[in-house]
Amino acid sequence: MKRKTILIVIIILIVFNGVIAAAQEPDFQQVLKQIDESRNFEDIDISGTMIMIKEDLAEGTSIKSVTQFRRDGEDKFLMVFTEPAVQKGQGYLRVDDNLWFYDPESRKFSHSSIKEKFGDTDANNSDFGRSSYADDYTVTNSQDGTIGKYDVYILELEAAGDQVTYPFLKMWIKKDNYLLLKIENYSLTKRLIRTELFPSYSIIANHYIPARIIYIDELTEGKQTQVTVKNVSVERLPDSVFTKAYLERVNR
Amino acid sequence: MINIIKIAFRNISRQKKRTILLGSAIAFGIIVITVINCFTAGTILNARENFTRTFGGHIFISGTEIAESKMAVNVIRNDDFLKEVLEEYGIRYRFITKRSVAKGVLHFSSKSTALTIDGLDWNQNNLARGNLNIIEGNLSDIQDPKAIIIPKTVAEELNVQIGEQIIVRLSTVTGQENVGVFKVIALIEKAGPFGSDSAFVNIQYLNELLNIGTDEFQVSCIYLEDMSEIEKAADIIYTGLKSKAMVDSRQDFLESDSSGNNPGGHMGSQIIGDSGYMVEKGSEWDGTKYRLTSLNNMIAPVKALITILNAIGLTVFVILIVITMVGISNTFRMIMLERVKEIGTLRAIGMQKNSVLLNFLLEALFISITGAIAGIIASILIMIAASFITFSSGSIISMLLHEGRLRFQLEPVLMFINIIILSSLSLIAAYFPARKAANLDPAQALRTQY
Repeated sequence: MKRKTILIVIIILIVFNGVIAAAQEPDFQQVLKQIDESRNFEDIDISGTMIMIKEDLAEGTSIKSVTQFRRDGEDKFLMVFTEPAVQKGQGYLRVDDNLWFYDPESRKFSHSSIKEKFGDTDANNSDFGRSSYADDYTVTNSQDGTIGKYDVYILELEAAGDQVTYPFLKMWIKKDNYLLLKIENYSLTKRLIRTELFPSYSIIANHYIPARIIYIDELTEGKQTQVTVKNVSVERLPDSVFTKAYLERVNR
Repeated sequence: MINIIKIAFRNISRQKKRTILLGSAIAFGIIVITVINCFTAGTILNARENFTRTFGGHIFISGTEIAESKMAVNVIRNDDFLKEVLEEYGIRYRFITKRSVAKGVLHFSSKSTALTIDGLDWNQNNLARGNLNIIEGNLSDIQDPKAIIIPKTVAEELNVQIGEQIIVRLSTVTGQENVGVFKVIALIEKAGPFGSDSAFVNIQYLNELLNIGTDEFQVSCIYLEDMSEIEKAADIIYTGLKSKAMVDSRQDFLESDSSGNNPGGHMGSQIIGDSGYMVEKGSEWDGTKYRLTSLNNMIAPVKALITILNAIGLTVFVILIVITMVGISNTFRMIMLERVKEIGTLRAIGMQKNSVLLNFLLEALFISITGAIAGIIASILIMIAASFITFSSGSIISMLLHEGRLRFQLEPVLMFINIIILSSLSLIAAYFPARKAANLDPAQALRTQY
């Protein structure tokens, strides 16, 4: 009788702890929304310089420098290569769902896709626009974990539609401030294609923006691109910056 | 008349060296134009045959529809509609094959390379299977859904061997990233810049990776009974399709699409349109929009090259003709001066002016026809010799060759026309000195000393 009572109490305690633990778990869809809000600058413009170092065992190391202008509130961005010399003046302009690539040599604009690779790097065009994880993905699984010395939530996400580049993601999110530390990008066949690492952040206008991002190509050994963001400014940009004419003017 | 002909023959054989020289000049002009004409005709034929083998057909139809997400998607769900059009308009074809095509990146260890991935139904596509130029491996495992056949140069670039697995990254029809794993079963020869360098895989698995149904596809390839009727059939099918569905306007794909969305700008991938892009408001359509390409569209660069070659040949021919005409004219002037006394004698014994004129013209005609015939014979011998030269099948002009060799297609009508033109011009060149000779005063001619 006594043994039975102790057993029942233990079971009740385990269940009770489980319920409490579940109750303490956040709404992960809201977490994604907070991540988006932190990464997007809805009311202000942002500009900066990105230094991209691409490492490839077959091709060696190459360095590119890109100037970026963003107006997330209107879903616009402009990116212009400033280095190397062979790519200087090439640019990407996004306005709503349209993305154009400009080639200063031919002086022509061509349609590009947000899902395509950015330049010759392991980053995608979609990596530089507005973040929309909450709209584009649903959380299918979650667990606790650690990455380095940080306690994290590990979320598995599935794309809500076919408009995103990667149908499946796995995210490592810092528990205390919901900073993204790592994302694994998976194909439709759930094969790991790319890993994004966010080793450091800067605080700009009360937003956390990654100061350094590492994109690792998981299909090709030894291939990765490291992006360092510098000279970030939140000064208002003229509307003319997000136009084709601006790209052409910059190249004159 | 017979006497005049005999006199003309005798005069020609009297000055053999001069006759041979004149005839050789004419023959040379005929050789140049004949060889070029026959070469270009043979090259066009080679290109048509090779492209037919590579692309598995003469007329290609692809389809694009708008998904719920407003994205354009390249897919044909069902081709019954197309068969109806072919039957209704009485198009004679041998067979229709279905293909899917993707732009992929092949990964192996630390290397990667971009390549077009061509999905075929190997049960259906005996033509393609038979025409793959396998240089390593074999097709015994062709029914393995994950088998892949790649160009040898790609295998060398990736440092991959037969039997090893490679990863292929591509985008689904809606532009999402996907990855498949394939086993290399065979290597093929590279097709060269006018050809299509593709990796060949099983269409069912490729469709899976593209995220379309296993029975769906992206391109319908129609193999006609008669290759010479490609344009006519294409026009009829286009009209038939247009009467029943939306069809893109037929255009020269060399001029079109500066948008950069054309997958790799590769000729083979110009068969299908763009996919995975958001359709702009106002540009939407219902159902499937079709796009028709014919083999002639795809060999347009070859045709452009042929046009240039023909133009060069014609220019050289015209220059040679002008030079030859000047030579003939001068030669006959000299002949006239040499034979002044003879002409005087003939006129004195009763030969009429017209007969003297005819005599000279006949000489010119015999020289030009003999020279032309010699030129034709020499051209044929040159072409036979040239057709023995072999080129490596991976060479820059491999798609323009017939089994690695040049092909010359005899054009009898063109040859005949060239002989007529040349003979006529020779007659014109000889006419003026001949007329002068005919108009000589017999008494004056008999007194003249040269």
